[in-house]
Amino acid sequence: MAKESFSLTVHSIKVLIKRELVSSLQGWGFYGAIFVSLIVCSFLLKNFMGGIREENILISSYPLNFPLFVSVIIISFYLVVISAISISREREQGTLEILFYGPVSSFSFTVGKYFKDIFLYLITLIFFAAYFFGVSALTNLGFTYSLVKSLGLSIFWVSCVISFGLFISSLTGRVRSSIIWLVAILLAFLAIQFAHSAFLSFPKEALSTPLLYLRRTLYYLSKGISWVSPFSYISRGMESIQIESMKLYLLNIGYCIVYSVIFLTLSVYILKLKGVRG
Amino acid sequence: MRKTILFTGLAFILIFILTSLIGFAQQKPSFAPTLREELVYGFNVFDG
Repeated sequence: MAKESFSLTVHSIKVLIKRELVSSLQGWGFYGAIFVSLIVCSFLLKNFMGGIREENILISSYPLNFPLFVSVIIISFYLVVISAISISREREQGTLEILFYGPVSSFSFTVGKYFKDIFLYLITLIFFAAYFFGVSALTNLGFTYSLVKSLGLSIFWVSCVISFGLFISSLTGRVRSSIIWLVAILLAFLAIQFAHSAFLSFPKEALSTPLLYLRRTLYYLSKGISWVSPFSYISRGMESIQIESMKLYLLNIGYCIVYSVIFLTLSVYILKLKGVRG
Repeated sequence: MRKTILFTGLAFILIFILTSLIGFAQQKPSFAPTLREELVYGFNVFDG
């Protein structure tokens, strides 16, 4: 009986992934996001090449890592938006209720959505790898081992971004509120970190006691945000690659897995708690 | 219609990648340093 239920769950996850993946691949959004990330990347690389031509030198251990970092950030924004509206859209349209009359559960639905987005990113990764390999072959900017490491780690960064988006989506009942919540949370993260770094530029003596307390509070808040915001995992991972520490690299993969599991579990739990009508 | 979007999208991205690569190939610096040469050259400059 348990085995039957398990195979039914696996089957419904597979059907959901296939249905959603085909639907995403047959829309303009996905290609638009890849195009934007590659055009920004090309612009950065053009500047690199221009720099070499003008000054006859470019000192950089990882010339292709920064353009890759920017591309991943852009594609992550696309993925966080589509994952943030994925559950709320089905809820708003009423398809979630219809699906849940069948063998689909909160778990299989959330996991299906998560893997669909992961597969979308893996397809993007093929384009990125081909593009960077081509650029490296034609310009001699090194396609280094660290770039391969970055490409590998980017799957785990994107996993954090997707699970965060799904978490937001499970909380909201409408597409519009999902977008508003997502933008508000990301802007709040940004504002706190910006305010904290602005306070750091002032010497301690120049600040009054209430401002010192505010600075301390902002310090703790930005520390917390660095673990909650999925985008901080991208910069943390990049740092681990730049200092060439294998231990930190593996630790970052571990952090990303733990983050994804926590946020996916929360999404399943909230979806179960709120029900199909929100 | 939906399949047309899929194939057009894929073709568009591939054409974009190819044109960018052709552009980079034309921009290639004359000495075309490999990463290692580039680093050695950089150190030589600083060492005088």
